[in-house]
Amino acid sequence: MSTVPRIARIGMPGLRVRDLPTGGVQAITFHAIVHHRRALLGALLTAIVLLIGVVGSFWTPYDPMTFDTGPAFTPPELAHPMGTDVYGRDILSRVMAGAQVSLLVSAGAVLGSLIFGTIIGLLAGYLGGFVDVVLTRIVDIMLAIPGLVLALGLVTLLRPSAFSVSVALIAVYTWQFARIVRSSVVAVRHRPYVEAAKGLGSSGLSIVFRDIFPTVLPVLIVQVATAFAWGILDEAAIGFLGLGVQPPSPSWGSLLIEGRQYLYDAPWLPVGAGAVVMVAVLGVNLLGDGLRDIVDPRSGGAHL
Amino acid sequence: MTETTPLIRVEGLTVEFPVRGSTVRAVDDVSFEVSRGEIVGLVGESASGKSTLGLSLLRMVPPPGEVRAHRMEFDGRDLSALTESQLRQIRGSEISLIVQDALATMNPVTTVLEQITQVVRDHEGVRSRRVLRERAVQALRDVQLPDVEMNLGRFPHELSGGMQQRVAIAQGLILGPKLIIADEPTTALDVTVQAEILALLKQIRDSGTSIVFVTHDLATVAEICDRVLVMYAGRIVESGTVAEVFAEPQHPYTQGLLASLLPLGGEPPERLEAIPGQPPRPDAWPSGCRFHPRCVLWKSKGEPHICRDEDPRPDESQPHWAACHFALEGAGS
Amino acid sequence: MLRYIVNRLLIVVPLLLALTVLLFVYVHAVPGDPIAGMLGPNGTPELIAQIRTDRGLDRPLLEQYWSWLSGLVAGDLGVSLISGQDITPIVIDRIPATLQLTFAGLFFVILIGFPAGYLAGKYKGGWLDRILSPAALIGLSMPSFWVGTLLILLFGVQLRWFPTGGYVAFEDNSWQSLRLTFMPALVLGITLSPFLARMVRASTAELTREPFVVQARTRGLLPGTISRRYLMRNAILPVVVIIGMQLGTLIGGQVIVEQLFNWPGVGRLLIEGAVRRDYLLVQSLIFVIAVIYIMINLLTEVVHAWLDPRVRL
Repeated sequence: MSTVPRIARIGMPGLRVRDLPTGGVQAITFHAIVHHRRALLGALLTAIVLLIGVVGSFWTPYDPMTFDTGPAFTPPELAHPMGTDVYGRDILSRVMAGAQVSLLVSAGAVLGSLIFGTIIGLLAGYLGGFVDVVLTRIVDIMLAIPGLVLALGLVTLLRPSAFSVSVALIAVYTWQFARIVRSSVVAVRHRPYVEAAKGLGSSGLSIVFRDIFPTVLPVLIVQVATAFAWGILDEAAIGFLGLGVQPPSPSWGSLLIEGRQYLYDAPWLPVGAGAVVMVAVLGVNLLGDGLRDIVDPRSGGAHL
Repeated sequence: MTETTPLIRVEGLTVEFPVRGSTVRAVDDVSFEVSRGEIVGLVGESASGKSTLGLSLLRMVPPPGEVRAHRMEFDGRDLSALTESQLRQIRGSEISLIVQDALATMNPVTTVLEQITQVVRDHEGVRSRRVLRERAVQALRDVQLPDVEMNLGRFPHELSGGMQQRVAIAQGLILGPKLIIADEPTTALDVTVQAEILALLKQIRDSGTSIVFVTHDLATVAEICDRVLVMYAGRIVESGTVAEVFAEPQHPYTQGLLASLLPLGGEPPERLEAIPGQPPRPDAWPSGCRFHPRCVLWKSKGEPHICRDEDPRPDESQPHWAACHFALEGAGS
Repeated sequence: MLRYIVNRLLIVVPLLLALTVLLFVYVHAVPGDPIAGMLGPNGTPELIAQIRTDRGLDRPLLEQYWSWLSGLVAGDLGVSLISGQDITPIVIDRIPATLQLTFAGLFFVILIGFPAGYLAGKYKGGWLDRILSPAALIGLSMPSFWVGTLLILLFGVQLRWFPTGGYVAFEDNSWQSLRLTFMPALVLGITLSPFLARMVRASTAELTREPFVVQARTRGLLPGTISRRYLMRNAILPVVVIIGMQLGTLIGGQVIVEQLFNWPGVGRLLIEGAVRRDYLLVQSLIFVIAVIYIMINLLTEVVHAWLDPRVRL
């Protein structure tokens, strides 16, 4: 931008105040995260939620399905820190059990869409030509359908279960990954060192892994975090709509169906269950934001 | 305030920026005057401080820069004592700024008419659309913009580069300022358009407005400036009328700059003479005379110590002076 | 301007066409027999076969596609898998309610998001900015159904300011209609404005450093003028673009909100269809929703071109 007039450029006349931080995947170190406030907070929150999920898979204060662990509609108290629901089930236990569902579904969705999306993006970006055009069109069209709507459409066809939610979400998130991977690949494809590698006879695949991947990786990592947060939200949303894990199995979304139903009698149910979802999503979002800053410091200032 | 009071009187002007705990000076202890109705050229390479100097006259050096001066007077008034509100009133109406990229200075979503009249509205409180339009038309005619009526309704990006610059000048001129600071106004334009704009600036000068013409291009200085100040590393190193300085440059830097101009006619030179080296950065100014590491004269004299140890302190009361130890001795080349 | 619109429409049509193909393939590529699933344990093979024939599902795939597509073009959305009834009148009936909520939601998104982002960006680093950024992040992380439930709890149950659900057509009873729209639209506003606010903040902050804004100060313009005509007038430009980008999320959010507040829109119809595994209904509805999405997107592009003279084509 050498045409920026002087009036805008006079600030630090020709000075380099410090070396620009380099970023990239190698910048993601324990040290970096600990020193970045948001990343640290995010990592902590995420870790707590993960811990709850892990613990919840083999131990909860009460059995999440057992009725009458206490009187129905008990507000939060020592014996039942999150209260009890209409059947006297302990809400905290149900939340913990639900955590497992949410986290697994989201992780599965992210993993699946990461794999498929990367493959599509790589194919489109690297091969170019007709393949690229066709794939890109498909990606554009799929991205034109609002995500949740598409997921709902798919869940319609599969039996409502945690697995089908995961599959549906894979079908929604894949395209975003594909687009990101493709643009990274395209950006790198014509760089001199890639051309040079080709000239030296490196096979396509090795070029991809050695030269293209390092550029793509940081963006992917951030997107993984973002998608994971969305996964938790979407799984809960689909559960709330009754199309996910079916009762009496607890999932965060279906807990909120009950919450809405018994709003007058047990307001602590929706408040508590929803708050947990929020904290989980917030944690992952913070972590994602922090990672983005660490990996690409030049984007700093875009958000606080 | 008699007619002979200089329009601008600056003494000991310094502009500092805090950097990494210490401070750095973009402009270092500069003094000069600008009379009414003259064009003063301010010449230098990048990082010489010339643009910052121009901005400081408007008190618009961006933070965290700080401006300090023993004396900073405009039209007899002390600029450093004015409040922000008073400064706002001066800007645009008594002192105007024109920069190189005219398009970048214009609001992309408002028409030419709206842009030009905004200045009138904000300074004079005029509301009448008819009057505003007449003033705009007159201002655009004054800068010789073709097709005034049509262009009033256009948006900035629809105009050519030369027209954009004319509109920008019109905006600066419409309130009849006493001083225009022009920072490389023609550098981005075609040669023919350049000539027209320069002619326009001369006319503006003739009608009584002073111009501080900031540039790196000595050729344009020769064309329209009355006096010239050569800046290097935050200091003025030579000052005089254009005729004097071009005919007998006293400072080796000025000599170098002039030598790198291609002469019209005659034999093409065997080599383009450029001044060796790069201009120094404000945080790393050479000791003594700041130009000495690049000074051909210094080398040819066997690198005398005085250039490294002492900052030249010229007699600035002379009409034509230069900040060089050997210029003071009267030995130019 | 007209040429621009026509131009964009021409691009849209093949897109929609391709969409129908993709939708059809998508929907039919999934394993399992929906009719069997729908009927459940009551599904005897004869019953299944009969219903299949009845709904025209035993025809070759290509024929099914063609029949669906030509129906779409003619404005016929097909029949419901479950009831066999015509979908079209049901959908048309729900469109006004849907659009009312969509635009009310957009209204709140802009109302909350733009001023917040603008002020945060203009005074970047100031107290508002420092409060807003974490607030935005929290807002982004809140599930819409949770926000909605909380609002119902607060405004509906505790304060009793608003009814907690339902719908009244605008022309029937404007005031009540608006009252009912308020909470669901507010939920959309709260959950989606953080995106808008963030981006407006970034673009406004950049704006304050733009040469023409600096130059405006050089010209001694009044601070109020600079704020209104230079900053704000340019800051709204990206708003329209951002809304276009967020539209998908908005629609998704609207589906949830419609469910939560018993709002009779297309979204809720979609859920009903999904729950009952009526995939014919779902297929056509997804198409309808995609069309609405594309149309509103086109509208935002037109508005953007209208606001920004540099974009005029």
